Amino acid sequence: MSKPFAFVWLLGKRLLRRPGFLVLLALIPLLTLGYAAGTKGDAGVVTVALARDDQADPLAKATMEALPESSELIRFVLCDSRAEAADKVRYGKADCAWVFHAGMEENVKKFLRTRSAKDAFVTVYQREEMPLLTLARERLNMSVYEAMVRQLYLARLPEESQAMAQLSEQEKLAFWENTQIPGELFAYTQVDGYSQPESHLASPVRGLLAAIVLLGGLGSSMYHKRDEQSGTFRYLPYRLAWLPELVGGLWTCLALSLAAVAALAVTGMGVAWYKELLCALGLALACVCFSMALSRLLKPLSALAGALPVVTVAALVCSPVFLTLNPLKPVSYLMPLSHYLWAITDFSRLGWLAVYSAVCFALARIPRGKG
Amino acid sequence: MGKYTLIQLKRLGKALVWAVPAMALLTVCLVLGAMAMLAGQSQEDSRTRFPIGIVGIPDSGMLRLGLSAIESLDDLGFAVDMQEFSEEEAEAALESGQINAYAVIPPGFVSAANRGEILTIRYITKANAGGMNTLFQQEVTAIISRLLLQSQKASFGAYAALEPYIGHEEANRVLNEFSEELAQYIFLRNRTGQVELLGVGDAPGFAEYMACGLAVTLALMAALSFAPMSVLQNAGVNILLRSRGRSDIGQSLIDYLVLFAGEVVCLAVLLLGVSLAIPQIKLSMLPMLPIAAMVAALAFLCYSWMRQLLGGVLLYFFTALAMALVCGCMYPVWFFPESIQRLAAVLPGGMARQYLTDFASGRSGSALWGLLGYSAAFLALALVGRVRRIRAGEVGA
Repeated sequence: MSKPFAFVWLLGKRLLRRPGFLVLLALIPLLTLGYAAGTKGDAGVVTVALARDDQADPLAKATMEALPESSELIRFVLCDSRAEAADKVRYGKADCAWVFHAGMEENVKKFLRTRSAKDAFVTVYQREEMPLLTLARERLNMSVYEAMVRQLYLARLPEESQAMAQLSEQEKLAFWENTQIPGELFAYTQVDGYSQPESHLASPVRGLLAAIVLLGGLGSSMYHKRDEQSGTFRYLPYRLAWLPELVGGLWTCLALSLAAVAALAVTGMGVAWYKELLCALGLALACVCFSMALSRLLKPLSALAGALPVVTVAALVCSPVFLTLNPLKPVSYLMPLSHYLWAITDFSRLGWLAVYSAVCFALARIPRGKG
Repeated sequence: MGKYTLIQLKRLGKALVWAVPAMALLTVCLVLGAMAMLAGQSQEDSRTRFPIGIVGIPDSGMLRLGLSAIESLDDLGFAVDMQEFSEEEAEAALESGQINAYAVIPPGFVSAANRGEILTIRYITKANAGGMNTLFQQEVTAIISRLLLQSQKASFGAYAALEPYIGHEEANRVLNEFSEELAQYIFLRNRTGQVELLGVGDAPGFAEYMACGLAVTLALMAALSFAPMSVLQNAGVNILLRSRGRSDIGQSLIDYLVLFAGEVVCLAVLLLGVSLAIPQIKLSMLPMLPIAAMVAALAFLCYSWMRQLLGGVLLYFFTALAMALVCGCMYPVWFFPESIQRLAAVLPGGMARQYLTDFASGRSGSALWGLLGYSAAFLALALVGRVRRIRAGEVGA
């Protein structure tokens, strides 16, 4: 084996012969799979307790049944009484409770006459006011609106024609029910064909896996600093002193990137295999170059270690891992995670990942001053 | 104080020279972010805005009704900013991030609607990793869709019922009048429910919960700074001290205590900064001590069992990240299914978050004992790993 290849191989072997590192690589897909499976259960951002004062009230029953099934945003829990629903809210088991008053049909008619909030016919219990609960309440409004429209429709027909007065309620409603409308007004499309994970709980997984790769790069740079302190690569000429850090970092980040690709593949969150692999390669390179540049800036080992919490939190907050925060966009350009996530959603931006890596590498290679 | 303790304290001092300014920087950034949010809340228009492009708006009453319905959702705290574009412009605006999505209203939408036929509007988004934004947008559009379609169904149902009896002209008049009447009720829909606020009582409010989750996450991340000091890559000094009669367990306990002290200093910097800048957030150092003890023990365990700095950092970060996510420190725990909520309740991260929220809301709970139990277990396991290596005489890795 020629010397350069032997050098590269030995750096990799040094890493891969560690059982702990191999166990860690295996844990990445396993735990991701476990997490993805765990989040597929019945979950919602807001839990709503539903109850009605009169269990036999047909309109209240129909309105509750007309509420859409639990969605990603709202999880419904049925309660037997107002007290039970209110207690669920009081003790933090539900975020809010919607209780339909007894005699709902009469209540709806009264509200349609007065249009006054004093004649509200649903009590909403909340512990505090939050935008999320207001959004969830729109589901209730939507369902109650349908009950109101039904009453208005039934009242309107006999006003317009005597013949309508002769028809039964069911016959009048038949015209309404036979009117064909599409299931949804909006058809959702995504421009780049990237399949978003089904659950919002699973959507940050890719970004979090990328953060592990970034930490791998930083950890590798710290490991290299220890090597420098102990003079492990003293035999290398000065002009090649950067090589062990780059090669060692690439071994680490590539191994972690491939474990992340495997994790995404087994959970069904991956994109086309060639895009996934090229982006993983780009991420590994970008993380290594970023770590080298930071390592160049923060020379003592303790300085680089001290920066780890800051870099990690900045990467998770400024990159679009959980949310896209537009005010932080200028900072997000500094993070390898952002460029990777942008490249995944828009493959044409892979080139920017390469440019970012080149800039970081150039910063890491700025000649040192005297001393 | 023994010589070994002094050596370790000196190493801690070197680590803190960088860890404290780094934590102070992080605190300043978080405080500025929180202050910007608090300032935003006090402003009249503090809603999360979703800029959305609309392609193909015809001048029509029905469309105006739809757009007004969208505007009436403004009190949700998720305001929709609509901008008119051609499809090419909308594509470019979506690409550049100027808008979050655009809706394409098909040609002939209004004339088809007048015949009782609804053409589907294409709603185009650019996928990104921000799943929550997409979720909110889909919820808002689903509500608008259902409100408008139900109104349309009732209006055309009335037309179909009346047309054979009163003729086309009269039925058309009823259709238009009835559509307008229904539109009024869209705007009155908020009056049907009466909101009763029960108060947060002895349970934490949402903001309080998230502050506690963030504190636990930062406590977990802070321990990364002490990895070079705590990973036993070379046990030469420890072996030498053991040969001179210094207990290996005692040395390892000193290593743990020094890591714990570093963690406490970092958290003190964080809390001091937060309490000075935002007095509304009430977190004191006292409840953070058991959390610092648990986090230091967990980090010590990872750093003791891994023989390389890289392995130690990665194992600890992976554990901390997974725990923060699953235990409700990044998302509220009630966002997760029941099974994960049960798991979070018994994991150390979940107990730390629970203990902090209990403390903040003045409740007593059993989470403190769980935390202390985990701290003892992690410390014991770490000591086993560390002492085993010192006794085996492993000089270097």
